[in-house]
Amino acid sequence: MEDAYIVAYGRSAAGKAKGGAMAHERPDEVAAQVLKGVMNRVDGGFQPAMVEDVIVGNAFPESLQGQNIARTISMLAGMPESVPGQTVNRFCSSGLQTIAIAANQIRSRQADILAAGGVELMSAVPMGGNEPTNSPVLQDEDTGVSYPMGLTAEMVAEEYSVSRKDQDSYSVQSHQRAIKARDSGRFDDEIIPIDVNSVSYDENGPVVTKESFRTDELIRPDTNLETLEELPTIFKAGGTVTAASSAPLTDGTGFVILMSGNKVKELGVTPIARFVGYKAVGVDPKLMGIGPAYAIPEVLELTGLGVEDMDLIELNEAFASQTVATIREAGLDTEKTNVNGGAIALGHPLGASGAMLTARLLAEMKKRPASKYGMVTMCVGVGMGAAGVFEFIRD
Amino acid sequence: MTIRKATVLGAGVMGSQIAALLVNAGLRVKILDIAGDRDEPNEISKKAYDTITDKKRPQLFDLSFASNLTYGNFEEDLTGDDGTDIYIEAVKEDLGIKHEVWDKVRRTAGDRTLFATNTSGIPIASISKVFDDSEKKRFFGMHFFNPPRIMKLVEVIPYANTSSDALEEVQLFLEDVLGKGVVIANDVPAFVANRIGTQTMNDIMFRAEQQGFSIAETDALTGRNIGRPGTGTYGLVDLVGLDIAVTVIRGLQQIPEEKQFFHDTKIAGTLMEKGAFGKKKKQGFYKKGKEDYLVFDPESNDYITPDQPEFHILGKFGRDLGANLDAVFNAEDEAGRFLWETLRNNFYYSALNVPKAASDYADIDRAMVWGFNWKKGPFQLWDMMGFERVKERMENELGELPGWIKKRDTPFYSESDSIERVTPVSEFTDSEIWNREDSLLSVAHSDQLLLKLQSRNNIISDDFAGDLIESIDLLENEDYSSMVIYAEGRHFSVGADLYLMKKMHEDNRVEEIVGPAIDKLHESFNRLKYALKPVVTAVYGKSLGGGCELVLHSPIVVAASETYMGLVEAGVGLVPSGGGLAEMADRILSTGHMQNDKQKTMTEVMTNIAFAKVSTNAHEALKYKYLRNTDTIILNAEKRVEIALERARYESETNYIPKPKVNYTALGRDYKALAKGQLDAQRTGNFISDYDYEVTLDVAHVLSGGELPRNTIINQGYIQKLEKERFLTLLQNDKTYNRIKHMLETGKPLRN
Repeated sequence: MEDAYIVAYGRSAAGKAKGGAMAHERPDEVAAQVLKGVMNRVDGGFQPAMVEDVIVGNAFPESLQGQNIARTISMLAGMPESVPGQTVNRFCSSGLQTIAIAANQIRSRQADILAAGGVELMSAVPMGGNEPTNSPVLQDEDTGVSYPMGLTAEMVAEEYSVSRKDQDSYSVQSHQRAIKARDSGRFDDEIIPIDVNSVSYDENGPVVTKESFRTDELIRPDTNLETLEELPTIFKAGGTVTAASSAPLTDGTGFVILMSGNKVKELGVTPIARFVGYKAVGVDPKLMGIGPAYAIPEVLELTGLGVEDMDLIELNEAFASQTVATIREAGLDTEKTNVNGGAIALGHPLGASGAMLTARLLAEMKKRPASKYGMVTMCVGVGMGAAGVFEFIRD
Repeated sequence: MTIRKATVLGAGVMGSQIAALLVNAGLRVKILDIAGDRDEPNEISKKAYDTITDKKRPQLFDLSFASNLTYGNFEEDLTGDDGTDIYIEAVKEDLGIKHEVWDKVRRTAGDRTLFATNTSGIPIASISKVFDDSEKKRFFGMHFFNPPRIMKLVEVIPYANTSSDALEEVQLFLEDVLGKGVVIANDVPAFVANRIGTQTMNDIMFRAEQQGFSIAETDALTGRNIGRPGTGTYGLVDLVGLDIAVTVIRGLQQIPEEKQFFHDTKIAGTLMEKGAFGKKKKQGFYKKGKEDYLVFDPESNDYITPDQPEFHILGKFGRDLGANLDAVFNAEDEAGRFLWETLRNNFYYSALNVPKAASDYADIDRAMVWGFNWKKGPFQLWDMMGFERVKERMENELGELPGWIKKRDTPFYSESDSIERVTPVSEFTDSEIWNREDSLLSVAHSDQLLLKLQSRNNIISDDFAGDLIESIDLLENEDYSSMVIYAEGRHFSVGADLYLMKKMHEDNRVEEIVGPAIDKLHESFNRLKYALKPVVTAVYGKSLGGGCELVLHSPIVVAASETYMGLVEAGVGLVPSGGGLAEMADRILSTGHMQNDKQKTMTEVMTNIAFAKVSTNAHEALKYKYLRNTDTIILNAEKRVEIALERARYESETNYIPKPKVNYTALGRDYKALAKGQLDAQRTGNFISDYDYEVTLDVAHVLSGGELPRNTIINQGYIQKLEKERFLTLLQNDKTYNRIKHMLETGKPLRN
């Protein structure tokens, strides 16, 4: 079997959906900017025209994100028409799923060079899509397929006894870690600045200027336990989940370039990490958030590794309740998990998160010379979980 | 001059509420206040603007009206080149400040501009000193009552120099454009309403203290039983503000001839010292406890739970004000005598104020009814109690009566007299076709039918449904051009007869009796909707349940802005079944909108119905789709019948096209599953009860057209059948029965 290597990664800064930095942007255009930026980072004899497919994850591939956005992105990124594109949807693990698809294509020698990632501008397409739907049959069977994500977070909190205090404390920690990382330039390596439109208004009407967007804008440095304790629960009366212990609506995109071992050698490209394995699992839709606690043991079994082998973990924080429950159930080391904060502070642009977390994982592993194995994992809507393992390559 | 542009001076609570009222009436309004510091010169007026246009609790009927409101400051924005037709000043009650502001205004104002000062206490003549002779003619007092959106009374106070032109113009504006009731008051302290109202409140408190009636006892006696607000005397002072009442009392005590009518009272004195001015200070004569209201106890100097007052005369009171007054007149017990003296002293003082405060006694009645929410004014009450016997007894007890009363030997009003100023409906009607228990049908302007809903509580009864069908038969088959439907009273109609529904459940006759009744209701509303000639419904106040459904089926509606519409059946565990759901679905499905828009709007409608949401004004009803853009919204509720007749006439003369009957695609099982998912999440999240879930799911079922597969064509009649089926099933459910029972017993919804 051929090995698949990540040879470049990068993500946009995370924007606040609705009214944030990407409020005036199109998803295909920001994704193309980041993909271009990532391709620029590949050294050796690499050329964008060599990419054999662009695989893009997206959780709501319709309207502005529709029309097979991957194809539009590849063309906008300046790739020749010979480079095709496919859009993949597994909700919140879409951006990791695309990396796994690309890696497995390379491993089975179907391709040598692929671009994979994800994009989601939650400002562009609302959660649930523009025309939400629900299966009448599954609804009648009380499967919980239509449960709002926040309600599943409540169910996880109840089932796994994650208290309000646990959730609030965890959320505060997420912000504290994120602000520390941001202020010390910890994210500079993974972020690819993008040009965005800035619109102001004067007496003649709108004034449009270009700005460079390069800093995650959702972190709230002033977050503290006292304020959080005051917040109302929004998904269940008398529940425990609040807006602050949920990931905010986010705009973002991220990509990696994958290459076969042969091509790495042939083009003289420096490999960054080797793809080790990926697993997606299904769980009770009502307990959606516990997905990663099931995906993690499966991917470890697949790769023959133990949880103690993981030197760094990016566990997507859709909700504090499911993050805490997953940490407990899967026995994760909190000192190795989300060391620079997570989605509660940094945001969670659904289909893009997998690729953005991969970029964050690899950028941090680069700074930790002793680290070898890293994991990206997340819960996935309608009761799923996913996890992927990477091995950092050092000379 | 037609007043279309106004500048409000002073952006305090009153100023901003007046500004909002004017904007709601369609005027272009500027609100100004003193300039703040250099960085933020409009700080104060901007704050008022923000309050008026607050997204959550706007004072505007519709936030889009905000484009007719601007703010600024006295230094920069009194430029005079904005064509302001009227300046309304509502700055602090301080003569110096008022002079300063008006002096600035007059320098730039146009030579036809009107100047109105909103004051409750400062003599108009003294404020007028800053004006030159021409300006003085255009200056007058204009006293709004709080809150100005709701309170009908505006006292207009001319003084020696005010021209009759200016006075006529402003009266017309206040009545026709703002829909207010104007009382012309003389320039005497406290004008009319506050003078009479404060005197009687002060008199009650004084005698209550003398005779040992407690606060709670006094309020139990002096509320609705005698046609005054249910708060009673002390409760009302808490609402108005004790400090304000005391200011008026002290002002009048300074005048030698008034001094004898205004007394110092002990409890008020104590509370004034404590700063307990009432509601705005969260404590006054009353204070809100954890569950109930506590009352101030002067002995312990603390708030205590009040005892339930027990008086012989309270047992004699009922809903009939005339009978209550009779009981008061004949009472021999202490409390009864206390009430007699209350009314007697009020009658006497009111009589003394003609023509001192108001030239006409009817104006005093208007002032008290419109400004203090009395059911009847003093002279009306006097008549009801018996003009002669009251006069005689007053003379015996008080001595000499004012000259004009002494001379008078007939009651103040004849049977047909009304204190209202609008043209009564009887003016338009030529002949009566029928006068039945639930409806009155007459002919207006010789060829228009006028159908009045007059059932008990204006409920939409089975008989009324029959009368409606019959009237539309007449309209369509005889030489009538159009028809107007209306009702009188504070509310158009609060819906169906819940007692009847309860009884049908108890007697197990739901299918037998209610089923055919629904069919008849559907038939009558369909006849209304698809009538061949224009039918206009004039609506005002609450229009709920079946009342709302009648309005929904009216091809054209003239609604007063104070119209409160809602399909509230879910509150008693039912679904609207007078075609309400079918009509709402029809309004959404017959549009050419995209499927997703239809789904979204349907969910909004479902949610409004599930939570029994009632619009807070007619413009909001437009947002809820209970009214349409083709309907007319007017500010002056009392002109609704007149305007409805005009609208009906206009429609009949401009090729009225009856509503078309259309088919459309049902949202079907796809939408129902979506709604079900949403409701399931709300139930699991403890936001709604199990039975709320069931009832709302039934609403969703009907709106969807049931379990139909994609791309199935239906029509209004099909949805009406579903409505009926769900209604009959729900009405036979014990949980619905319990909701109805609870509502009838407590007036509040039961969430079982």
